[in-house]
Amino acid sequence: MSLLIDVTTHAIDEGYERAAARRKAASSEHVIDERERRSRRATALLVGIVLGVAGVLFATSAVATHRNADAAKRDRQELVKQINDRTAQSDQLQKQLDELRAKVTSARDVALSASGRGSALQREIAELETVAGTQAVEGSGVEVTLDNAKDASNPDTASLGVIYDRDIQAVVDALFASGAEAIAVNGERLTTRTAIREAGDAILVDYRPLAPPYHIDAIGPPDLKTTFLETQTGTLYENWRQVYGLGFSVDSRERLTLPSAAEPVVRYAEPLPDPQSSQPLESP
Amino acid sequence: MIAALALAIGVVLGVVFHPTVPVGLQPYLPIAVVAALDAVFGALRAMLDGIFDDKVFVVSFIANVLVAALIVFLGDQLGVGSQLSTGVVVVLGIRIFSNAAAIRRHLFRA
Repeated sequence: MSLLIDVTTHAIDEGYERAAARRKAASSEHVIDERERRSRRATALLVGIVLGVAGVLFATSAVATHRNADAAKRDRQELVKQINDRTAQSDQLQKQLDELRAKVTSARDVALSASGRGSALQREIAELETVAGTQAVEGSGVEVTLDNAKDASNPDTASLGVIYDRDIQAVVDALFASGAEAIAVNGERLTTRTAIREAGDAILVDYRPLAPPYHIDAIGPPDLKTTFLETQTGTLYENWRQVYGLGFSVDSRERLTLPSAAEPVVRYAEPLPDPQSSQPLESP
Repeated sequence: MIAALALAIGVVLGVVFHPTVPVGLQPYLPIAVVAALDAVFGALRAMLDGIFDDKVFVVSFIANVLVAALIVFLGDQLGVGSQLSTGVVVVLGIRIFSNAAAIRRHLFRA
């Protein structure tokens, strides 16, 4: 504590008191000659210069602080603008892709419907696309809505009322386990290769950021709702809704339309030759 | 009077020309500002106490700023730069506070 007392009691530089004492002692023989007067004027000028430097220092520091804040703000705005631009670009490309894909599909259908064998293939393709998730589908099912707890007043439980990627993963898994055939999260259709993950504070489904509330549409058997609510996940989230105020609701839907997912591109995996056929696929 | 004028001229010069601080010196700017503030407040109090001395002020100002910067520089080299700057700011802050309190007592007699 003596250090603190020292700091507060000797707040002023000791040099001042000593100089004052020296002046007092010297004042007895009070003779100010020309040399001393000139040196006093020089030190007074020095005081002015030092104070001027101090002023420049204060102003520089203040200006630099404000300019840095402005620069940070500008950088942030520039980044936000870039993100918006790229998102718009990506949406535009996605739209173009959808159009081209529709063209390809219709051209394929025209070509296939010309022959009986082609029609059979067409039916098979439609079936496979439905399973793979690259075909828009409709049917009855449930809509599960997950949302962050509205009441975050209690700081102890506030973080427990937040939806994370694992919550959506758990609900999707439980829905599939309950017999769901096609699922979309906020309009993003799930395929075997769709990732549900978290980056920063945002949940990404198929690498697109989603905003709460999260609507999980699932097409499945008529008893999907009861089956889902009886699963471990269903009871758990119902429980959390009551305890933490988590947004969780399950509604039956007569008619759900799920969009198609982007067609996954397979570059490296190759199908095994059919063991039934005597001829391997790749033999010359 | 002249001192206040000099300070004001310095501030105006700094705002008008806003000299760029070299990147290498930027970490020391805040600490130099705090040390300079301490010296200026100490000088003001000494003036009101009637014991102000030109030479003491000039020497203490330059020495305070340099020593504060040196402490931070040393801390940076030893990996405790932010802790040492916090220490410098705390000590100088306490000094500024008690000097400001003494100035207040002089001006308002309370």
